[in-house]
Formats: sequence, structure tokens, C-alpha cells
Amino acid sequence: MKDAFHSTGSKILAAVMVLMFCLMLATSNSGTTLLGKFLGRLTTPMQRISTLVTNNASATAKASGESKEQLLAENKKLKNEVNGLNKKLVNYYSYQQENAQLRKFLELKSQNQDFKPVTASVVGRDPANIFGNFVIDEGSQNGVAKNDPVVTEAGVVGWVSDVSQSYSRVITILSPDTKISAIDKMNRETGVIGCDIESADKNLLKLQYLSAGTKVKAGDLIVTNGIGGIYPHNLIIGTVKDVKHSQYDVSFYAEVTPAVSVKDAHDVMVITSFAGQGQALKEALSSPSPSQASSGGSKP
Amino acid sequence: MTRYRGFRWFAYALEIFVVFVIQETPGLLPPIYGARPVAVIPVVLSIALFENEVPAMMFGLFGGLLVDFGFGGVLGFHGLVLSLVCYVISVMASNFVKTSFVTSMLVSITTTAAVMLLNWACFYVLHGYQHITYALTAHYIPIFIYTVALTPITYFFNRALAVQIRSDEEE
Repeated sequence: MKDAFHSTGSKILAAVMVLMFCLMLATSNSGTTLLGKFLGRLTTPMQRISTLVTNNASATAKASGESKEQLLAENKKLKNEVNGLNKKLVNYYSYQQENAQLRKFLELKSQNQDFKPVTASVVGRDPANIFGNFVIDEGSQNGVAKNDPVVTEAGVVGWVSDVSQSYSRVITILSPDTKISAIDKMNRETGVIGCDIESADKNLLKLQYLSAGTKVKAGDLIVTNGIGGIYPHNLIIGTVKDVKHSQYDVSFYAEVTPAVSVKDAHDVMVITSFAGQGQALKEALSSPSPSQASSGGSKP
Repeated sequence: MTRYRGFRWFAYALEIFVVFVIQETPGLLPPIYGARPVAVIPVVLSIALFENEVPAMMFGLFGGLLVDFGFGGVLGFHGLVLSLVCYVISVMASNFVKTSFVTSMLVSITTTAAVMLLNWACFYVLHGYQHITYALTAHYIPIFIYTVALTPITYFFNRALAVQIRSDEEE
């Protein structure tokens, strides 16, 4: 026993301890290191393959798990649908022409023309991360940068916290590290979207800092208001479930059901560029006042 | 280094890597009460029971760095903890305790509990997040239980590796 702690092994152990401690100090300040990039290059391709295999296997298992009766019922239902669709097909071409025209108008009016999206798949979810943060298979080589917003077609998912060449880490809206300046679409009342672990487990967000006479009510649509330069405005966050009194002060907060099921998201879109991106950040960085930096209500 | 030893170490490294990929892949390990296991921990602990100090420490380091990378926090935290723990386990297994299933369970319970508590303290409490007791009981303890539950599989698998891929001199 005495030899074990005075041996070459113990000296190697001491060296490893010192090395790990230095690595901890380095990564706690700078984020990604050379070692992190190496591990990312090693693991991300394998995770991409295993995610693909898992998704295909679960789809196959779901299909094969159905009984004969279920399949017959589904077949009957699909035949009815085909008949209905054949009838609708008569009007298809005229609708298509009309749709093409409307789309042109819509594109001109659309406020999202400035978006430069990059689609990505969720390839990693760490079990020890209790806020549902995840890794996506796109990185800086595809234009993804730190602080880029991450969305699905349904709404906001989170933001990019760390970028490597071939992968990125995303912090979700369920994490307390995410703060989004938001607005009630119905009555234009503003607040800050945040979350804590208890709300995250109930799949709820909190629209905080509402005044005592708030007009926010259940069913209201909550969207980003674009202040802060991190998120574009008008991205859907969720709908109000309930309005409650804050236990710490006189303000109210609204419980918001997120539009996206963050913990089940498989495919996401990173908005790598949009009009006004980073403007408030630049202003905040150039300003000496710390209060201005947080006024956007975005991310730390 | 004998051919058997090199081959065994390669098998261990591959095992840790594959288990890490399985652990990180969304939807592969079914969640129980919302918890998924940190499967790399029982793997490196089982390896430490059958290997000498330095290799045990190195596999602990490798597994720990992978856990750090997956977690996305400070790189080196789990690397430091698991390399130290694996070194101590290996010394104990060589000098004090008989390597058995019961020993492996005791080692897994104590070590995983320590790692999870450190994780909770350093990455939840010290971050200033709210509801610290709730986070411990609703998240960290279920992850601990699920992780420990994998120990029988990792113990018997690594015992088979250690026994089968071993030269006469090593025995």
C-alpha cells in the first residue's frame, strides 16, 4: 500500500491532477479548447450515425408494433382520404397558380426575408444536463456562430452557446441561463421570458416582470420582441397558460407553454443572420453602463 | 507490453467510446422518471477493479474527459475526479479488497454518489440556480440510481474481458 502511493504511478497521478486542474481553469474562461475540439471531431460523426440509426429504428419499431386490425383500419381510412384528395385535385392547379401569386406578395411583405437559416439535427443530449441542452451537427464551417438563435417551424428552441467547426452546443429556453425579451402579441405588454428547474419539468416558461395591472391572460400568444439583437422579433415562444402573483415582489408573472417540445426536438434551424442581429450587443459592449447591457433581456 | 494486454486496453478504450456514444445519443437509452444514466462511470469503475493503477487511472481520465465533453461544462472536472477515483480503486483492489460483484456494487454506489453530489454542488448550487433541493431529489438522485443500476452489466462484461484477454504471465 505504502509503495502504491510512493510509486511512479502516484507521480503520474499527481501530474494528471495538475494537468486536469489547469485544463479546468483554461476551459472555465475560454470555453472550447484544442482538446475539446479533438473530442468533438472524434465523437460527433459517431453520434450523427447513431442518432440516424436510432431514429430509423424507432420509426420501424413503431410501424411494426401495429396489429392487423389497426393496419386494416388505417388502410380503410387512407382509401377514404385518397378519394377525398382526388376530388380536391380538380381544383389543385387553379389553387396552385393563385398560391404562387400570393406567395410572391407574401415574400415581399414577409419580415423574415433577412433570415439566413441553417438546418441541423440534434445529435447529442447529455444525461447529466438537466435542462435539456443539446448538441447539433452544424458548426462554424456552415456559418453557425455563438449566440445565434435556434428555432423550429413552431417557435424558439434556444441559442447557440458554443461553436466548433463541425458541431455546436445549444442552450434551450428551459435553461435558467436563457432570458428572452418578449411581448404579448394581443396587448403589446412586455416582459422577460425565463425558467427554473421546477417550471422546466412541467414544460412551462415564465413571462416575468409584469405590472400589477397586467392585461396578459390565458391563451395570449407570446413572441420575441427583437430587443437585444439576439433574437429576431416575432418568433413564437408560446401561449400563456396562467397568470400568477410573484412570491418575491408585487409584480406578476405568466406561465407560458412553449410552442416547441424542446426535450423532444430532433431537427432544428439556426438563424445565422437577420436584420438587426447583434446591434444591442455592440451598443452594450461599447457602453460603460451595465444596466444597458441587460436591458435587452437576452442572454448572459 | 504483451500482445494480450495491448489488445485488452484497446477493447476497454473502444468500450468506453461506444458506451459514451450510446449515452449521448438522443432516444437510445430509455429515460426512467426523466433520468438517463451516465453509463461511462460504471464502465471505468469496473475496469479499475481489474487493472493496475496507471492503466486504471488512464481509463478513468479518458472516460472522465468524455463525460466532461458531453456535459459541455468545464473540461477536466470529471477527468480529474474519475482518474483519481480509478487509481484509488485499483490500489484497493490490488491490496485490500477482493474483487467481487458485491465490491463492485459498493464501489459504484459510493463513487457515483460522490460524483453526482459534486456535479450538483459545482454545476447547480454554485451557479446560483433556484430550487437546489428539488434539483437534487428530482434529477440527480434518479440519474445516480439509474447509473448504479448498470453496474452489474459493466462489471460482468469487463470481468469477462479481463479474464479472457489475459496472458499466462499476467495471471
